[in-house]
Amino acid sequence: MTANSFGRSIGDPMGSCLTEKAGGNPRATEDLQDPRPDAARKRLCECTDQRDACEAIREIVSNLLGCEEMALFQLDGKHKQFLLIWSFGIEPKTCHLEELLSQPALSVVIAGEAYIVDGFGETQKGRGQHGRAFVPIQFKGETAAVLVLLRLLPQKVMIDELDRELFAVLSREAGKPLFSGAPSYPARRERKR
Amino acid sequence: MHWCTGIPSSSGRKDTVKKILLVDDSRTTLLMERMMLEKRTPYQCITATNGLEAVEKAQTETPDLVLMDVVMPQMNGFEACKRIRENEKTREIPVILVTTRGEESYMEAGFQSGCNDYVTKPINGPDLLKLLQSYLSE
Repeated sequence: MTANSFGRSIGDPMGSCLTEKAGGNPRATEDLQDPRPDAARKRLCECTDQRDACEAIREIVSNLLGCEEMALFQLDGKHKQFLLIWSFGIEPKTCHLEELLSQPALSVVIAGEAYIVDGFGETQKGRGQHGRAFVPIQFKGETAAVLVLLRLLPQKVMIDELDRELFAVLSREAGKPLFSGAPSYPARRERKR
Repeated sequence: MHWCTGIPSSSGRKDTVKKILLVDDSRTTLLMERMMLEKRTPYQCITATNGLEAVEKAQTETPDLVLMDVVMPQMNGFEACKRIRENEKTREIPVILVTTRGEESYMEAGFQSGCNDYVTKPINGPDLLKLLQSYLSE
C-alpha cells in the first residue's frame, strides 16, 4: 500500500473514507463528536460520476456547512482562467474571480488551502456582502478546481473548526468523483430549491 | 457512548429500543443523521426521502419520533406533519422539523403544522442528540 502527497492510503478507498482525519488534528472529529466530516467524506466516496459529485457538494455545503450559494470552476493548467462546471443559487459572475486570480489568494488556493475573504464566516454583524470562500479541489496532487462559496445562511454565525475540516474533506475527496474517468457534462446553473 | 441496541440492562430487563423516522431528500443529511444516531445512541433508525413516504412509514412503523426536513419533493415537511397529526394512530408522535430556512414565518408555519420543535441547518450533532434524548428519555 502506498500513500499519495496528502498522506491518504491508496487501495482501500471505502475503508479510508471513515478512518482518515483531516489536517493536523487526527482526533478532531472524534473529540468534537460531530459526524459531519465523516458523513461528507463517505458521501463523496460513494459518488458515481461528476453529476452525483456536484449534488454531493451541494448537499454538503448547504446542509452541513450552511451556505446555499456556490459555484465550481475548473482551473486551467496555467492557472490563468477558470471554466464554470456548475453553480447553485447564484450567477457565476458574482463570484469575483478576478480576486482569486490575484495574489495572495491564488497562491494559497494552488497550495491547497481554503482562502476566505471579506468577512465570510465571521460574526453576523461583520459579514460583508461580498464575503466569499475559495476552496481548492485537489486531484492527482494538484488544485484542479475551485469551489466558490458566497453568503452563509443567516443562522450560521461563524466558521468553526469543524467547518474548516469540511473544507479539507471537500478539497481532498471531491476531486476524484469530479474528474476521474466519468464524462463531464455542459456547464449548468441551478436555482435554489 | 451507548452501544446497547436490544442488550439486556444490568437489571436483566431488555431495554425497549426507541425508533426514529429520519426524513430528508438529501442523502448526505440522512447519512449524517444515521451515523450520529447509530454510533452514539441505542435508537433504531428508519428513513424516508419525502413527505408522502414519511406519512406512510409513520403509520406502518409507528416510530417514537420523526425528524423531518421541510423542503422536499412530492410532499413537504409542513404538509406531512399536518397529516401525521390528523391520523389517530400517529398524532401523538413527536415531530421535529429540520430546515435551512430559519425565518420567523417558516418557524410559525412549522408550529402551525403541528411540529413539536423546529431545528435549523446546519445541524449541530451534540445539540440535536440532547434534543432527541429530551423527547425519548423515559
